[in-house]
Amino acid sequence: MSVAEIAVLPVPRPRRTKPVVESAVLGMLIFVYTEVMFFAAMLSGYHIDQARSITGVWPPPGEPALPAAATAVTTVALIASGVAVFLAGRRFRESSAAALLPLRIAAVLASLFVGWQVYEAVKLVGEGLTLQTSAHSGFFYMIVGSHAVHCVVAIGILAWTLARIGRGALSAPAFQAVRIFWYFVVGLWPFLYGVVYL
Amino acid sequence: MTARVLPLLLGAFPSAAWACPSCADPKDPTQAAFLGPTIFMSLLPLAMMAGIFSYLWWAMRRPMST
Repeated sequence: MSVAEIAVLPVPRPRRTKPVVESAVLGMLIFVYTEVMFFAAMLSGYHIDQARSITGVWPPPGEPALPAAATAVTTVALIASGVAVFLAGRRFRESSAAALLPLRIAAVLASLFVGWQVYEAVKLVGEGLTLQTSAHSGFFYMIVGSHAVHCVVAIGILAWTLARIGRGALSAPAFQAVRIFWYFVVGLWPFLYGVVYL
Repeated sequence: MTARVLPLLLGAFPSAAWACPSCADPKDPTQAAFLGPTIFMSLLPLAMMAGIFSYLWWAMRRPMST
């Protein structure tokens, strides 16, 4: 083979030594996919039930008013926790310890949000709004309660993340997966708030 | 003959025949409420799959980091 022939041989592409997407990240994306469908199904049911309201008034008359203004404040807290986790992700590239502070702030903000949700639910039940009151109240507790459960799980995962960082044992893909779940929980809420409270 | 053809013709116009088993009353004003979520729930999985595959496509094409 002459030098000229060798010169025109195609250069082989370098072999990929790392996976295209880490398994933790892909797994979390698929999980979030199923979660989106879960909430979309509930919102669809809510929408249809709203349209089929016999009285044409939604929420049904006589039910306690939902605390939309106060929940708007806690919504801001939850969104701020999303910003804190985003900042933690950026700091994590420098050092894992640098991500500790924003993650702690995110956990506190999300705990405030969940704490308010629980307080609000207890107060509404005291005012007579239970799961059995109407289709509206049933959907309200189902949708808001499901999201609150997701928040509690997300806070638990954040606590696990903080512990792993403390031991210096948190991998970047695992932290990315945690962040995806957190963004899902935070990003979903404004939609739920708009549909259920406004 | 008429008894055979007429049901077939009615099958082509389900709203006139009130033949849709799930929609019940075709003149129900809340039918739009069924239509919206049906379209939404049909397109949402496709949109999310497109999103995941686009991400994988982008991740495959980006240069490898050392």
